[in-house]
Amino acid sequence: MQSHSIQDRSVSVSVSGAGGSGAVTAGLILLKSMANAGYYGYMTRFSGPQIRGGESAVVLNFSDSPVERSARSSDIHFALDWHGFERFSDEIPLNSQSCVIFDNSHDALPDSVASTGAKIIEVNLKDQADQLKGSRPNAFAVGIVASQLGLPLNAVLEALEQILEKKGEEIFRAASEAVRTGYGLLEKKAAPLEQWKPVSHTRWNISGNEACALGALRASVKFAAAYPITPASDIVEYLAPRLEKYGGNVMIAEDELAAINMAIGGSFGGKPSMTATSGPGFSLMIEAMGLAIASEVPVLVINVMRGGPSTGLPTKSEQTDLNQALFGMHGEAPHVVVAPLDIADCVVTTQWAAGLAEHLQTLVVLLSDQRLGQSRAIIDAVPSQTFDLKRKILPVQDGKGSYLRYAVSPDSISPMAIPGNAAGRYTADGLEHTVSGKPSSMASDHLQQLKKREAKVTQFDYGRMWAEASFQQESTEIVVLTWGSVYHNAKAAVSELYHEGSPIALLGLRLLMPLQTEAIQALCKGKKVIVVEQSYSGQLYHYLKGQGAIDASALTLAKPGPLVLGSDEIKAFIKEAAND
Amino acid sequence: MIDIAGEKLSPEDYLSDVRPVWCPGCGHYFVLRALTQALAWLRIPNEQIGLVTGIGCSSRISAYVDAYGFHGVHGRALALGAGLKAVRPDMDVIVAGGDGDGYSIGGNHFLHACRRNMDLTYIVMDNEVYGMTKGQPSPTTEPDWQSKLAPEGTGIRRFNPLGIALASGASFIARGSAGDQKGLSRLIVEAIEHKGFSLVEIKTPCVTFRPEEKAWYKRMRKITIEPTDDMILAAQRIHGSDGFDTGIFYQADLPVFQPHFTEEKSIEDFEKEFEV
Ligand SMILES: Cc1ncc(C[n+]2csc(CCOP(=O)(O)OP(=O)(O)O)c2C)c(N)n1
Ligand SMILES: [Mg+2]
Repeated sequence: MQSHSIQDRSVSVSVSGAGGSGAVTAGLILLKSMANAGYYGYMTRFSGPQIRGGESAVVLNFSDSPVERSARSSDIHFALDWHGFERFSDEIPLNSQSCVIFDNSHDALPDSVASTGAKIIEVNLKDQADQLKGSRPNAFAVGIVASQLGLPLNAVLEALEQILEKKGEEIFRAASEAVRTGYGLLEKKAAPLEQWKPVSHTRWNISGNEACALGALRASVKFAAAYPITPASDIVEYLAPRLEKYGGNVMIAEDELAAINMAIGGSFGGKPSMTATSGPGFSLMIEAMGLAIASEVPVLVINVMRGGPSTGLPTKSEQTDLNQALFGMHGEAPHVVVAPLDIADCVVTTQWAAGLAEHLQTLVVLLSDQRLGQSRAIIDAVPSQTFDLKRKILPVQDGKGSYLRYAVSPDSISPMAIPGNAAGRYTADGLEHTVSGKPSSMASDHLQQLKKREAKVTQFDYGRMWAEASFQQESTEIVVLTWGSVYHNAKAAVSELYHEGSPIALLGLRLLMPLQTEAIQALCKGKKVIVVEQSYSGQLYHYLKGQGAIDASALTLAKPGPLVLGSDEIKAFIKEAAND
Repeated sequence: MIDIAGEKLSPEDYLSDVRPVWCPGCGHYFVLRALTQALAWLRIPNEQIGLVTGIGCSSRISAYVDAYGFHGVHGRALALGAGLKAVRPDMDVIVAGGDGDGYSIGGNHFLHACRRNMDLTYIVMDNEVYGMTKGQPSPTTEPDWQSKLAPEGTGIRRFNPLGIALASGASFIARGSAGDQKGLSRLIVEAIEHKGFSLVEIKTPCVTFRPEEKAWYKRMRKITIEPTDDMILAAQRIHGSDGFDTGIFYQADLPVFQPHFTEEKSIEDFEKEFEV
């Protein structure tokens, strides 16, 4: 096991096994146990392409300070079996510092694992489980790992109770007995938690998808319609039972074409509305996204990106729907595209995004990704905040007035009439229209409405939310530009270099459209710029260059999914670039 | 049904000031007239009407009615209308469009709208052709109709909207004729008043691309069919009809899907769930 300095008080654990072996549940219990003990943690999950039934794995990183990225390698790996483990060799790096514990009642130790030089410990969990009625191997594994971390048994039992609460007394009793037994199986280790300082303030155990959903609730989104798709389904699954008790509703659509149109209908009816999907569904929604823009109906579309094209990598992360989110619509369709930078930021950015849709009466696309969405972390509670972003509504009046739905105004945002208001009768239209909404194909009307739709999104003051800038100094020479789930690894790399004395700064973009070109230029002009992103073609890089936000001399570190761009790799790239 | 005590309303009270783009003699004019007549009889306040349409000549109707309208994209009107009705149960949501819009590109939404049985009225202006795109065969076109796109005819059996609506769970299924103004207005009134998904399939000639359809005005029989809630009987009538019968083929009291909005939790309750 690695020695842990005071500065780097972290330890990493991974668990793998065949589908149904309970690797993910073991990870969830360990994460919660660590939280109960007063620490922070971050868990990512991996599965084979089949989502259910195949092998799965969790990778956890724990610390006594907030952590939102995986470690370079596993300090402890527990293999419930070796089913399909070779598929995780990239995601679960093992080395001579690792300790591998495995249940030897299934397959033998694979050569690929033996050859890493990791310390190997064999246990027979089948025998243990046979002796304890109703128990499952993963519970023993949790006990074993906890003992090797020096995690107090109480913290684990408490977590177990919280997680198994609904499964009944009997299952909980068998599982806690198994955890206890596991805890005593190997010699208990005091390290590495010995030096750690537990905290006692309120923290949250939350996934990125849940965080997005919470952000939507905070923004008073009252209607969502969706069709299931990995890795976005969790968002609406979280919302369904909650929105119902919060003055809203989730509608199960027959497909994504319906989902987005239902959301537009709900929004037209006066309720802040959204949908959530991933690549294939996002493609189906494109036409109606243009409708929301043309008819000026607010709608939030969350795309939890996975690898593409086509069905692509359904369970794995990539940042490759950027081009489509920016430019996918036919015609000229100004709208807003935002992306959260981490799990806590999913709450804030989604709330902001939903508010922007309402205020600007247009489409807002929020690009999350599988890594961000399906990772779970122990984070500090996200303080509530208010954005003053509300839909401008036509006051209710009797009798038909001379309402101009698409009137041109100084901020180009015209008050929207909500059905039921006699004074505001109009027909929302995806056809080009006059100020009153009457269909028109006249050049003057088209130009006027094009300008209006563009002006309202480009002239709006997005304030400080547009990006996170850090390590900025007078003497900055290098700027690393990144977005989404790559942010934390990029930040770690930049932070290390900065503290080693390098004149380097980081810019995490939250607002991708309309691009804050001048603000980016102000931070990047004359500097060495490196764009870091998870794509093969460098979509963000080319976009920023095309818009003139960065110079032709800018460099890019672009790598496709599903592999994470690690901080070491980013750091090495920057170092080499800096020396050029 | 009709509020005779109040001031009498006329179809004009429901017409907007936008002039229809339809060809002279188009059957769609009669549908507009019948719809506004039905609304006038029902005295529904204009602002309580949501008229949602897709794309096609027929779908232009949302601009011609003085109400809250939505002229969306091709084939998705039923979905948009369902979203509107979901959040605004107080409104009378009417979805309208053509045979191409509803049975072809929007076919899947048609099935699921029937199945969901929300309290929507769906008016299909079936001219057995794609009018707006200048005369291509639609799902309801007969197999031997010759057109540019299918010089020998499509050779494909026709879509049976009523039969499919019945099989999919719609609770009100009617056929009307653009040529029978009064009968059609009455059918639309019944459809709006019915609780559940109501299909009003209307035979409306496309005088430009299918001039021979003008013969429908003579061939269509005035309200020959009386409502039944017996599915077997309804199926016999639907499948036994030569297509020229009008009336309500099926009307039943089936569970209606309508979300209810209750506010019993606060955002703090949800945040608490995340606390460790
Ligand atoms: C996605 C899409 N595909 C194709 C079209 C072209 N299009 C416009 S209207 C139409 C057919 C309309 O036929 P129908 O619904 O029967 O209406 P009608 O004009 O006959 O009243 C088509 C194919 C379109 N607008 N959008
Ligand atoms: Mg037609």
